[in-house]
Amino acid sequence: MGKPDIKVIPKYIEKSIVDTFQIQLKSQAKVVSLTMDPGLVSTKRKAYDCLSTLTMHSTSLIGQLSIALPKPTFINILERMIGERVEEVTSENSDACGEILNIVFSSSRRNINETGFDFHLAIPSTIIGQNLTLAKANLSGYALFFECQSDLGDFLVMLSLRQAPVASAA
Amino acid sequence: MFPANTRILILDDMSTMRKVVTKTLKEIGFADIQEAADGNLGWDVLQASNPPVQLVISDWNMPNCSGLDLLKRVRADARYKKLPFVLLTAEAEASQVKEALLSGVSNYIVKPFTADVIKMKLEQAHKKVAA
Repeated sequence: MGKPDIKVIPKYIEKSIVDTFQIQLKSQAKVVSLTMDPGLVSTKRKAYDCLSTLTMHSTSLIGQLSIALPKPTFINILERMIGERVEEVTSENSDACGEILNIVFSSSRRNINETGFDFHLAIPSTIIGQNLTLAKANLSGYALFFECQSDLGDFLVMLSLRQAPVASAA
Repeated sequence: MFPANTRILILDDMSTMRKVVTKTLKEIGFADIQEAADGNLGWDVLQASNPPVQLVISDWNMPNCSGLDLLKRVRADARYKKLPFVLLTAEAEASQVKEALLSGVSNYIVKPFTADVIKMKLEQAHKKVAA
């Protein structure tokens, strides 16, 4: 097999976002814009209340996959998941954000790895607060911002990747 | 299919996911549902439960003791050798499914899932037990 094509990664991430919302949340989601410039993300949504992130690690590429939810979207998602009324984002219920990211990453990982990559499984971490922002770290490589809309609300996914460091001989 | 009064143990370190699975099982018609947050706690529930647990639905990635490690522990114990054990996980690489099958999993459900998929997979697991 030849060198795997990095361009498949955002394609499978996007597919996985749509599939996860459709199957798990019975919701129609779509990526309305894909940009490398966080400044171009719609001004309507730049502050989020729940973020989950995980490390993407393979032999050739390393990076992060993150999802950011504003409170109304988080509430709608969680209510759809558990069938109960939800009032706030809390440390107890915020794992829902991490679980959505976990499903998005894991199902895309399966497809991505079939093209020749070897991304390892990863466990998300979740942060809750107010007016949180996803920002690209000032590293070589690239970051893609998936601005998403769904009937449960808007949200943002960020994919950042760069070449993995080459292990030096001992 | 498993009878409606089947005692089911669900394991997942994410409390939200335990609620999601519980809600789905109740939609299917089950009512007796126990929970644990990792394999070690699940093992404690298995041993202490009266009436006994008759079906386990477990996540794979959990701290302290993973779903796969619990499955191996269950299959190594004569008391639970035939206990129906289903893995419900976001991980579905061929090598992982193979490892689970070799370890004696009754069925394997990949997230994202619907209630119909859970029902179908449980029916398949029940047929295996009945056979």
